[in-house]
Amino acid sequence: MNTIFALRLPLATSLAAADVPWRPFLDPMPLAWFDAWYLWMIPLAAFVALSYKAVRAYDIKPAPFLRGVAIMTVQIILGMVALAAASYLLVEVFVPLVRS
Amino acid sequence: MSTRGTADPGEHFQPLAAILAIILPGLGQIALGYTARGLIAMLGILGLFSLGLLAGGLNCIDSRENRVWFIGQALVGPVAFGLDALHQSRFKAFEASPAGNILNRPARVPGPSESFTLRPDGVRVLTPLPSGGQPPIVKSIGRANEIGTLFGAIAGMLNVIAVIDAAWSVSRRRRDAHKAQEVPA
Repeated sequence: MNTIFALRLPLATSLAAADVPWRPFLDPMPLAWFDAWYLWMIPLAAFVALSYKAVRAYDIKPAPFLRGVAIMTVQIILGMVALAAASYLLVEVFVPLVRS
Repeated sequence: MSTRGTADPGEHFQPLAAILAIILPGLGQIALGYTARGLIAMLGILGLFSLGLLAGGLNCIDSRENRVWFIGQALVGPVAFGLDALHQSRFKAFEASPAGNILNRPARVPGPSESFTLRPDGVRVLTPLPSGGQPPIVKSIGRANEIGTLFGAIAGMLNVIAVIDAAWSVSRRRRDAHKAQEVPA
């Protein structure tokens, strides 16, 4: 991704997005939308669950299907939170313990 | 439902459905008669792809500057290639000297104080942004670029699942149904 390269860009580049009117699908969304960037995993998990259940579930009646999508969405989010917690513990707790 | 082992056209590889699924997510399932399933898959895959495009802008789909991630995005199908072609051909321009010589290849997205003009020979060259003007496109950076790029690539990988499902849909799903019936509740 361009993150590393973005750090080398002048600050004016990032501010430009806020100074000009936003043109959906052409310009990036205003920066304020990414203050709580981790919340973007909710629509991500929902769309992943929707797509996966569409091809894997053998009953697509609305009630069981939507229940399955909701359960899988929560499972994905909990899994990501668990992975984040495990990564935090590894980096902040276990590695310092090993090094000390 | 036919019994196990009975020949069914849907139980074999479906090349047409696979091709249609590659052309547009969900189209393979629709062609096989699974309209609701195909429409939901289409909604999920193209919805995720569109959300990424909305978050990061067209700049997130770039086969030249972001080739590795574009490989994942390309799995969505012609939609990704079309948007990349639009990005490369309509929103990137070359730097040119005052004499008109192209200074820097490849073409790039104009910066925040730049625009571009189309020369008579069909080449787009970067020009200073007129006072009060708006750049033709704003380059996405940071979280916007990360989220936009990632969503597009995940949508592409989901489409691989949808293509496989369209190609062998009936047999796989029926096998799962048999397994579910064999296990007592």
